Amino acid sequence: MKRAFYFSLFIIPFSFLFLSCTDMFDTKSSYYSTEDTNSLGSAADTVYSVIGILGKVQTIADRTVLFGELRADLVCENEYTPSDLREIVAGRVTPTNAYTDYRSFYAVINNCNYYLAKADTTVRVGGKKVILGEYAVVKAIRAWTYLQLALIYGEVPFYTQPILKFTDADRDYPKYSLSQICDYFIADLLPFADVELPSYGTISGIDSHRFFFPVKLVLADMYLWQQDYRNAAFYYADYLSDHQLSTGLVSARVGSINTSDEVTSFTAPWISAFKTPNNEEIITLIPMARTRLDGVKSQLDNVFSSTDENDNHYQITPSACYNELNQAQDYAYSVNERTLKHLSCGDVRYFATYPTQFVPADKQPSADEWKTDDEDIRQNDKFAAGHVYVYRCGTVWLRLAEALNAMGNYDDAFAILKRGGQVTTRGDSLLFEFTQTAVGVERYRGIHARGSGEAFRNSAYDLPDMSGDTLEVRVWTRERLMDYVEDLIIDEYALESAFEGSRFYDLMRVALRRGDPTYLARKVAHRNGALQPADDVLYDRLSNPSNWYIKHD
Amino acid sequence: MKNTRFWKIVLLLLWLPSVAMAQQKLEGKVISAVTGEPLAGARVTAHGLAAYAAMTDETGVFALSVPESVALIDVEAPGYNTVQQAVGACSLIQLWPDRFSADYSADIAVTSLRSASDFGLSGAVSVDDEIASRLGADVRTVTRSGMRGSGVMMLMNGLNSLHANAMPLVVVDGVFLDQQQGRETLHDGFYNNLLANINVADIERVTVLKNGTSLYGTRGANGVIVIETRRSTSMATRIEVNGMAGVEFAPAGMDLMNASQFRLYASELIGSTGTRQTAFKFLKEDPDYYFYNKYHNETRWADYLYREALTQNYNISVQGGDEVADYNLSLGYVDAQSTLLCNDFSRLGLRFNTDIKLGSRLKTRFDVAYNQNTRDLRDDGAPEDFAASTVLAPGFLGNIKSPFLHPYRYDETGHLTTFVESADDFAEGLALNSTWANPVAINTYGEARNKNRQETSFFNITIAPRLDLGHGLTAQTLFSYGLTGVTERSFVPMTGVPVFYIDGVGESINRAASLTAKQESLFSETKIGWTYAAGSHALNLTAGLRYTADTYTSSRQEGHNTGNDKTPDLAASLSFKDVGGTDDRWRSMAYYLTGDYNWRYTWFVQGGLTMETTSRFGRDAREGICLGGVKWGLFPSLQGAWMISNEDFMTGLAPAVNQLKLRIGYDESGNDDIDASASRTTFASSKFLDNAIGLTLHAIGNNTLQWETTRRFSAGVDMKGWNNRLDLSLGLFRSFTSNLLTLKSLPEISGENYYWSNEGSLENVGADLRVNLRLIGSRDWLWEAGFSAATYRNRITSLPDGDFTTTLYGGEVLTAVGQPAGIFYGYRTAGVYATTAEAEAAGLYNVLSTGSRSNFGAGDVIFVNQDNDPAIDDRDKVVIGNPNPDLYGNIFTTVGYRRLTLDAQMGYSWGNDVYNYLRRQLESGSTFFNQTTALNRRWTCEGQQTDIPRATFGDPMGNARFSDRWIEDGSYLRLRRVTLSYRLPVNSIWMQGLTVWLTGNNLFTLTNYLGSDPESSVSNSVLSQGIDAGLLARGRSILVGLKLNL
Repeated sequence: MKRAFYFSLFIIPFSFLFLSCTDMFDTKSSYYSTEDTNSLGSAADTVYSVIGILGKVQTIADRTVLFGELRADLVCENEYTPSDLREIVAGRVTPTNAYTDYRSFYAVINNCNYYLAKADTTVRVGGKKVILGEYAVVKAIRAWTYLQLALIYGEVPFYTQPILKFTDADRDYPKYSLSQICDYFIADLLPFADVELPSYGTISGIDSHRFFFPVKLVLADMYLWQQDYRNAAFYYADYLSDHQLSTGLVSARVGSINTSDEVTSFTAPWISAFKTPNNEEIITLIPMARTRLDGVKSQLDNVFSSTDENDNHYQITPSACYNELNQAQDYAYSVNERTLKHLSCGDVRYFATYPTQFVPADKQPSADEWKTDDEDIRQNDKFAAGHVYVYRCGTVWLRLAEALNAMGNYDDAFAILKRGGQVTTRGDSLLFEFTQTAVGVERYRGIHARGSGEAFRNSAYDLPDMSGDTLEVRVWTRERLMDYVEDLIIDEYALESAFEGSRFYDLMRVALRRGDPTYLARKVAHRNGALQPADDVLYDRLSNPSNWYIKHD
Repeated sequence: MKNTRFWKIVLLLLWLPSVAMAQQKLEGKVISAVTGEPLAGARVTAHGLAAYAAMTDETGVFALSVPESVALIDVEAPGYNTVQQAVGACSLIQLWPDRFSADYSADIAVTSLRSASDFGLSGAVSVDDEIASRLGADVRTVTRSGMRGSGVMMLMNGLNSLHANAMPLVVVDGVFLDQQQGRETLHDGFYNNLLANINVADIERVTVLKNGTSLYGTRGANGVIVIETRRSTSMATRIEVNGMAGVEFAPAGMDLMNASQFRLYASELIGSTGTRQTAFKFLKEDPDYYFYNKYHNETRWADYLYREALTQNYNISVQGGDEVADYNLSLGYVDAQSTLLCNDFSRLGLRFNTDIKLGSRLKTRFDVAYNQNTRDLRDDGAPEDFAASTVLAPGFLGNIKSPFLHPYRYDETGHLTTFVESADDFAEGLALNSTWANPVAINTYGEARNKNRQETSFFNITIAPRLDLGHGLTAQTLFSYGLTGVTERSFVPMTGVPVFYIDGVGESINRAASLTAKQESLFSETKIGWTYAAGSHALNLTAGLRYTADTYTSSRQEGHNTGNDKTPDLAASLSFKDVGGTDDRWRSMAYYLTGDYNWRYTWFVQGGLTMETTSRFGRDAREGICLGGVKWGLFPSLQGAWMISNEDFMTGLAPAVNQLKLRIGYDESGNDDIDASASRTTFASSKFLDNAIGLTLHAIGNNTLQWETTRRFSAGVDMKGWNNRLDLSLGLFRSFTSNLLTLKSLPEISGENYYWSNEGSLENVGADLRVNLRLIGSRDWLWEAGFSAATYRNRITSLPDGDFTTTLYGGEVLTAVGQPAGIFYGYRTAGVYATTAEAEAAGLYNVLSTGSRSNFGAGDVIFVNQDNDPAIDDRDKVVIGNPNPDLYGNIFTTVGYRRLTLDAQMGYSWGNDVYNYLRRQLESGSTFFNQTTALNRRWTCEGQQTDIPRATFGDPMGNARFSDRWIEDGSYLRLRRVTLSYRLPVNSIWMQGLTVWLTGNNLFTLTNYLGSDPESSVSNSVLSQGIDAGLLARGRSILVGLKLNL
C-alpha cells in the first residue's frame, strides 16, 4: 500500500503531462498577438490596425514621389545624385537599384487585406456602424497603393486575401495591368463612395481626417485612368462640392517691387499650406514622423533640399524646362481698375517653393553660416514640413479640369484655370454645375491666379479669339481647342504641383488620351530646356510605352 | 512468434550466468609507484561488485576470490589515486600518490567526456575561466574581455549552427541553465554572463559531454557542460575557509602618437577637409596665447582611465550531517575591481545543498541558492556604429583622444584645476559630430547607483526526492524553480560629453536609459530507473520525463536631454523617448529512455531515445512524429566501447598498457534556440507619429519550423600505460547538421522580409588529443606534464538562398557553400602607391555613389584587382581570413617538492585570424582620432615608399575599407596561470589543513598580434568570431590565498 502511494507520487506528474498537449504549447506574449488572438471585432481594436496601416503607408510615401517626379521633365540630376536616383531620372533602373523592390507596397496591401478579411463592419454602437468608415478608408488605401504599384511597375501580382503563411507567399498570383486594377477597384470602391470617413481627432498636431484617402477621389483617379472622363469629373466635382472647396484657397503673390520692377518680396499662403498642413488646401497627406523613433521619417528633404544630413548637397535639381516654364508666365496685377501691370518675374509659385533662391545675392547667408563651402544652397519648401501630400485642392481642381476638357468641355476646363469658382453636384446623378461666383474674390480665383497674378483679368492668358470668321478661327477645331487647353492644364500641373510626385503620370495620361507616346517622350527628353538639345536616347526609350514602367523580375 | 522466441533467448542469456558462477582466484601485490614499497591496507574490489573485496597485508599482497565473470578490479588506498586493472594483469599493481591528478573514474565512460574538479585554489570569478584553463581542447574557448566575470565564449565539436545559438547547454545540478543568449543589455560591449552567478568555490566538478547528448534532445547539439555543486559526503563536520586577495595590472595598450606627432597629423588632416577656416586654436604655438595650456599637454589618457585593480574573494563552507540529513552550506563574497575604472564587480552568494533521508527508502535533495551580482558599468570597446551615438566607451576614448588635451581644465592663470574639461573642440565644425567626450567626465558624472549600474539576482530552489522501490527499481523526481532578475541603468552625462546629432532623430545632449528583465524557469524531471546485475551482465534502464517552462520579460526605456546631470531619471518630459521590451514564453517536454549494458566491463553498449516537443516548433514540422496534436522530435543515440585491456590476449602487455579502451558512437541531437515566436505569424505594435500606436503584421511564421538536427559519429581511444604514467585520450568525430535554422527571404509580395526556415546544412570533422605524463615521482619530487590539442574543420554544405555576406563592425563575413562559417571577405592589398605615375599606370578607380569615377592616386592603398575591370568594387573581394583555429588546447604541468606544488596552465590557439577593428580605427588616417605610431610612416610625399597610405579626412578613396590590412594572425600561446602552493604541516583537532598559495595569471603571451589581446569576442555568434573591437584586455594579475580546513 505504502509502495503504491509512493509510486503514484511519481506517476501523477507523468499522467498530468499527457493531457492537452496542444494547449500547453500555445504560448502567449504581451508583446505580440497572433492570428488567433488578434480580433478585429470592435472599433477599439480596429483603430490600432488602421493606424498600423498608416504607419506602413509611410514606408512607401517617399518612393511614390520619387518615381512620379524624377522620371518626368521638371527635375534633373546633379553631381551629388546617388546612382539609384540617377537611374530613375534616366528612366532606366537596373535590378540592383534599391527602389526596384516593391515589398513595402505589398506590406501596405497585405495589412489592408488582413484588415478587410477580418474587420466586422456590422458592429454597431448607438445604431451607427462604427467600423464601416474605417473599412472604406482601408479599401481606399489599398486601391491607391495598387494604383501606385501599377503606375510604377506596370503589371503587378494581384491578391486581395491576406498572406499569413509563408507557403501562400510562394504562390503565383495573377498579374494585373493598370486597367485591370482600375476596373477591380472601381467596383470595389463604388459601394463606399458615400461612406463617412472617421476621424481620430488630432494626432501629432494634424487633424487625422487628413490621413485618409477620400473614396471619391481614389475612384475619380481610377476613372480618369480608365478614360471614363464623365465619371471622373463627377467624383472630383462631387468631392469638391461636398466640402465646398473652391479654386483659389491659397495663392502666392508678389509682395513688393523696386523701382526697376524687380521683385523684392512676396507673400505666399500657398506655400504655407505645405508648411502647416492643417488647412483646407490639404485634403490628404501621408503624415511622416519627425524622428525615426516615431515611425518613418521622409528623406525627400534630403533629396530636394540642402540639409545637415546631406552635407548641404541636395541631390535633385529643378530642371531648366521647369525654370523656363515658370519664367515664361506673365505675372499681371492691376495697379488700378483699368491698368494691368505685367512683371517679368514669371510665376511666383517658383519663388515660394525655393525661397532661398529668391533672396537677393547680397542678402544670402554666408558660407560659414551654412557650415559649408558650397554656395549653391537650395531649400525646397514643399518638403519643409516633412510630410508627403497626396491630394491637394489645387491638384484635384486641375484633374477635374483635365476630365472636363477631355469630355469636350474645354471652356469649363479653361475657366477653372483662368476665372475659378466652385462646383456643385446634385445627388447621385452625373449632373454638376460649375459656378464662377464673385470674380476677383481671391477664394474663387482660378488656379493660374495662384501664382501668375490676376490671370482672370489678363487677356494674354486666354483661349484663342474665336470671334469673326477668319481662316485662323476656322482651323480651331474642337479637338485642337481641347489640346490647347490640355497643354495649358499640363503647364498648370507643373506650376502648381511640381515635385509632388504626379508629373510623370500627368504626362502619361495625356499621352495615352492622345494616343501619342512621343508626347511624354518629347516632354521628358526636353527637360534640359529650350537651349539644350533633346536627349535622343531618352526620347527613343520613352517613345515605347512599355519603357514607362520600372522593370521588376 | 519469432519475436517471442528472440526475447526468451535474451532473457536466458541474461539469467544463465548468475545460476552457475564459477570462481576465479586473484593474487597480486600492490606497491607504491614512487617508492616501490609494498602498500598495506590497500583495498582491492571487483569492479561493480563491492561484495568481493580484499585488503592487502603488510607485504602488499592480496588474495581475492571473485566470480569468473569479473574482468576488472579496482585498487584504492588512502593517499593514492585509484587504479583499475584487468584481472589477468593484477599480479603487480602500482599506485600513484594522490598529489598526481586522478586518471581513473569509478564510472567507465562510454561516451566522450572529460571532467575537471578541485577548484579550491582558483581565483577565477566565473567557472568558464576554469574551463578555458583546464578543458581548453574539449571546449574551444575565447575569452570575452578582461571585464571581471565576463567569462568565455564556448564552442564544442566545431560549429553546429549559423544563426541559432551555438554555445553548449549548461546543466547545473541537473537543471538547465538558460544563459539568456542574445538578450538586450544597455551598455555596449557588455555581456551578462550568467555563469558568473555560480561561485567557483561551490563547484565540485565540471564535466564536458562531447557526445551522447541526445538525452538533452533539442538542446544537446552544441554539447553539454554539466556543473555539479558541492555536497556533503560524510557525516563529519568540515569547515573550509578560503580567502584570497590580489592585484591585476592594467593591460598594455597600443602604441599611440604623442602630442607633437598627433598635432602634425591633425593639421595635415585639416588640409584634406576642404575647410576655409584658418584659425585653429590648437595650432597656435604662442605660449602667451590664452588657450595655449589647453592644447599643449602630453596626456597619456590611459593613466586616467586604468589602474591596478584589487580583488578580494572570501568563501566559507560548512559540511556535515547526521542520520537525517547531510548538508553543505556555503557563503561567498567577491569584490573584484576592474583595471578599467568604473567596471567593478561584486558578488554575494549563498548556497545550501542538503540530502535528507525521509525514510529507509525515500530521500530527497533540497537545494537553495541565491546570488547577487553588482557591477559598475560603462560602455566598452569601439562602437560598431558611430552614427548611433557619440563615443561613450572610456577605454576606447582613451585611445582616440588627442594627447595634447588634458582631462582637467586650466584656470585663467594657467593652473590646472580639478574641474573636468568639456568635450573637445579642436576639430569642431569640420564635420558633423566631430568632437569627442572627455572619458574622465563620463566616469565622474556617470557615477551613481542610479546611473550606470547592473545587478543580477539569481535564485534557485530545487527539490528532488528519490524513492528506492527495491528489486533495483528507483523512482526520482526533480522540481526546480529559478528566478533571474536583471536591472541595468545607463546614463550619459552632459558634462564633458558633446551634443550629438543622431541621424533622423535630432540633437542628444544626454541620455538616460533603464532596463529590467526577469526570467522565471520551471524545470521538472521525473524518471524511473532499473538496475540489474547478474554475472557478467550489468544493465541500467531509465525512463524519464522532463518538462520546462520559461518566461522571460524585459522592459527598456530611454529618453534624452534630462536637463542636467543630477536627474538621471526617466520622465515623460524627455526628448526622443523610446521604449521596448520582450515577453517570451516557451515550454518543452521530453520523454526519454536510456539504457546501458556491459558485459564484464569489457563490452559496453549505451543507447537512448529522447522524444521532445517544444513550443518553438511549428505545428506542422516536417520531421518527427505527431502525438497529442503536437510534433515531437526523435533523438536516438547508440554508443559502444570495448575495453580491450580486459581481454586475455592483452594481459601480456601490462604494465606497458594498463588500460585500453576503444569507443564508438552515433548520436542525434537538436538545437531549437531561436526566437520563441518564430513559428507563428505575429502582429506587433509600432509607434505612429509621436502619440499614436498602430498594430501591424510583424512576422510571417513558419508553421513547419523545427529543430536543427546534428548527427554525430564519434570514435575514440582511451589508454593508460607505462605503469599508469601515461594517460592518453584521442577522440575523433564527424558531424552533419541539417535543417539549419536560417533566415530565408520571403517573396516581395508578402510585404515581409524574412522567415525562419530549416534549410541549409553544414558538417564538422574534428579530433582532440590529451596526453598526460607522470614524469617524475619520488619521495620528495613529482613532475607531471601534459597537453591537449584539438582541431576541427567546419564546412557549409548547403544554403537556402545561396551564399551571403553579413556586415559586422564594418567588415564582411562570408557564408558560402564549401567554406567554413565566419570567414572574412574583403579586399586584398599590395602596399601603397609611391608615385602618381605608378597609380596612373595601374589605372584603378572607385565608382562613387553618384556613379562617377574616382581614380586612385599616389599615397592610396593598392587594392588587388581580382577581375579585369579596373573598377575596385564588390567583385574584387576575396576571402581574406578565417577566424577558426587550426589547433587549440592547453599545456599543463605540475611540479611538486614535498609540500610545495607549482602548477602551470597554458592555453594556445594556432592558425586563427582576427579582424582588428580597433586598429582599423586607430590607423585609418581619416579621422581626428589619435592614431598609432604606425601612422608616423604615412605617405606624405611623392615617391615615398611606405606601407601606410596618406591621411585624408573622411577617407574618400576607402583606403581604410575592410581589407587584409586589418586581418591579423591571432595565434597565441599564453601562460594562463601559475600557482605555487604550500601545505603547512599542521594537523590538530581544530585544524586539518592550511594551504597558502600564490597565483600569477596571464604572466606572458607569445603572439604576433598587434592588438592588446588576441583573445577577444564581441559576441557569441558563430558569424562574429574573431572580431576584436578593443574590449578591455586582460592584464597580468597576482593573487595570494589561504585555504583553511577546520
